[in-house]
Amino acid sequence: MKKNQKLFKKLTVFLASVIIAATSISTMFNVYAVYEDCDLDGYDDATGIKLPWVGFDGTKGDKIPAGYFDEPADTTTTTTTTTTTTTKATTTTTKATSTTAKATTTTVANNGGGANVTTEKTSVTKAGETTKAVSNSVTETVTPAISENVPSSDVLPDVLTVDTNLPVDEDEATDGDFFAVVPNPSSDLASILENIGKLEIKDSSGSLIHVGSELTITGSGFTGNIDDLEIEIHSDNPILLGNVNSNEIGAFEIKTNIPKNLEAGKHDIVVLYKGTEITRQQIEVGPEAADSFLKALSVGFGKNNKDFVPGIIILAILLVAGVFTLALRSVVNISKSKKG
Amino acid sequence: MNFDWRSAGALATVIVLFIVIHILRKKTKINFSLLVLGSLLAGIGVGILFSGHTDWVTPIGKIYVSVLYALMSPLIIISVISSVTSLTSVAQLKGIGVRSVVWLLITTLLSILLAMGIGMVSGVGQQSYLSIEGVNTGAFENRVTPFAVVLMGFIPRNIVEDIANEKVIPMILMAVLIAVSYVVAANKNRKKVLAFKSLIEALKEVIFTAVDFIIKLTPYAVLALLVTASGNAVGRGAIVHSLIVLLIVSFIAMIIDTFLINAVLIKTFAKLKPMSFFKKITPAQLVGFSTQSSCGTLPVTLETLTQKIGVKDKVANFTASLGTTIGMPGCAGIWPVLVAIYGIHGLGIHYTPKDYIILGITALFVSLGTAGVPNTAVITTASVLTAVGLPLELLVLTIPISSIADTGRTACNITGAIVAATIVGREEDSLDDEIFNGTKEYQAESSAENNDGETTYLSSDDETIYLSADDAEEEPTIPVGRGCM
Repeated sequence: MKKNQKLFKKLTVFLASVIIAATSISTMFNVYAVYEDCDLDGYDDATGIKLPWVGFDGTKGDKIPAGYFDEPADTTTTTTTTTTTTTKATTTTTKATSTTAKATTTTVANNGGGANVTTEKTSVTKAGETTKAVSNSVTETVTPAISENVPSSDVLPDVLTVDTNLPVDEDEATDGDFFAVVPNPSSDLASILENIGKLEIKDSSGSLIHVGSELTITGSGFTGNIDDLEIEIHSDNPILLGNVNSNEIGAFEIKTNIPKNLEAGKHDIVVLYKGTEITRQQIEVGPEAADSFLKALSVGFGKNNKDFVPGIIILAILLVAGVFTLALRSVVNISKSKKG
Repeated sequence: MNFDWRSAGALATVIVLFIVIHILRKKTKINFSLLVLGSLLAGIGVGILFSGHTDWVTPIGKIYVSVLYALMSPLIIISVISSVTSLTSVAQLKGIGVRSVVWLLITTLLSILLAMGIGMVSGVGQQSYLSIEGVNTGAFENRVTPFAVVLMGFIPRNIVEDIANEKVIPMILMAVLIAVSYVVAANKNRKKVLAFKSLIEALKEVIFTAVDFIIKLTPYAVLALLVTASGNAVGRGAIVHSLIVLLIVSFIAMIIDTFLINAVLIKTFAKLKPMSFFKKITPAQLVGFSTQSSCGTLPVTLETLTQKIGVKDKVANFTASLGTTIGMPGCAGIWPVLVAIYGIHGLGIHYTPKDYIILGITALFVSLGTAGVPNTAVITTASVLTAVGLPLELLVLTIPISSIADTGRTACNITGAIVAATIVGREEDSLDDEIFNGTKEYQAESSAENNDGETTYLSSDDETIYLSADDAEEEPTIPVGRGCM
């Protein structure tokens, strides 16, 4: 019994060690099976590791760029990042305009547990000034020193804005603080159009989409904080359904009605910005609901009833079979009466 | 947290109405059909009054449907085995047994084809845009199943798994296999398998009793379901109108089946004048229409068959009784098929000709297996919807109007049973034309000779016929099947 107890204890300690070691190693070398950013905050949902772009989904084939997790040559960059949070008044002002675009680069390269870098939502236009965002969703720009090992910006994501409630002071900031980030909504149309985004379109009541019904259009993965995205339905002529603003993480939801004068069939829901198409998705629009008794009664005789002809065929077969049976019986009776 | 006072009010109102229903049932002995109709109207009123706030009432109706649905599998198996094994009661009457089953199934098949044709032509359910909570209509799009896979799905493989997964066709086929095996074994040594027959009949009695308990809750369930349905339907005119159209279309189908299709069968195979035939069976049809009970109508049915049509007792007793357990064109043919087509159109499901063929075959199989039960239409519709993969929520949606359609369904079932019995009587040379023509009076048979000159004996309940007096004493009484209510 004592032997068994000792053995059990040893086994338990061994297993615990293996688990701890495996967890540490996997964390250290980022050997998680797959990264996913389902909550669109720019970080892996499981580990909190900053991902190359918002909405990264390894389960759907997104790949981490080569060298993404490589440590920068200059580890002091990390320190600089932290320091910058407290000395942003000076650092930012001198470099804001020239380094804004690269700020994220450095931050990403350093990231092992979360970035503490924030960037301003609106561009810094004047050197020497520490700009503070007017909108509630943005705080000051914090720009770390530029590292020579910074990967090229074209493989790195844009920096996203920071939550104002998160600490920005070194004393308050703790390792692993995360910030929601959104792409910088610059006036650069090209950068907005880069984020094609995804649309989920469904009938608000859960039935099939049809003429006159209310649609719920949910967008995700678009450029954040864009005002006046245009939602149109395209058939013969484009019809504006409504305008919507994307939030910090490039998502939006809009409820709108399919025009009653639209013809049933395939149409495209198109998202545009200032007249330029960002993305589109085809939908099937059914005919108008039969919302009166007469319409419901006569719906089968309209052009939309594809089952009309097969139904007629079935009824015709029944009719022919009945007539044939009666005729056959008559013939049999006649022949019997003749024999009799 | 905001308390939904209107939902609480709806629930309280429903509870008060439950008490009223209970008092009416116990104190006034009100007719069951009237009670259901009253519950229906009350439910509509309450639903409109509390529209949009009926969520607290919804579970009550769903519980009723769930419990009924839970009885479906044991009911199918026991009903099939009981029906098929009853054919061995009289060895000489196997000819009548097989003919009865064939003609009952033919009447059901014709009603299925008719319902399919009328449902497709009328487009019942189209542009109603049903939205069923929890049902993803996208799951039905682009659903392609090879026919071979479908066919293999009909074959039983693991009876426990088939019952657990509510695979209706495999359950029925397995039940038929067991019943036929009993027939073969009984032919060799009846006494050895007598216990099995007794067990089946005992189980049937128990399950029927259980279903009776549930059926007595119908007025309460109809009230709750109508409150939910009409509460949600306010502002959803398309669904309400489509349900009314479904009701009208079902009655059109039942009328055509009852008077047109049956007329051709009577003229061709029973060699009787259809007009005279329908005049004679009108009382039975009216009783069935008003009582909505094939069981309650059976004495009138038998009387009509023997005294007015001229079918001999042995055929009338057997076939008409069997007609309340197998076939049932109204409950197992027309209604389930129309509800299925309604759901297909309303949910925008793309159905190919192959899918419609499978629907027809499924409905025919189900008519074999879910007969002889009160509220048959709910069970058969649930079975058909489950078997073809349509959402059961369609059943919930149509239960309110199902109570109204039950009148026509029962009349249709009774007519189908009478027609089948008449045709079998003609084929077995057991149809007296003189009685039909009114030139001869009916005389009751106590013990009669069958076609082979053998004397037959009635059992103590006067419902089962045996070849020997010993068999009549030993064989357990086979209860008359109960039709749909």
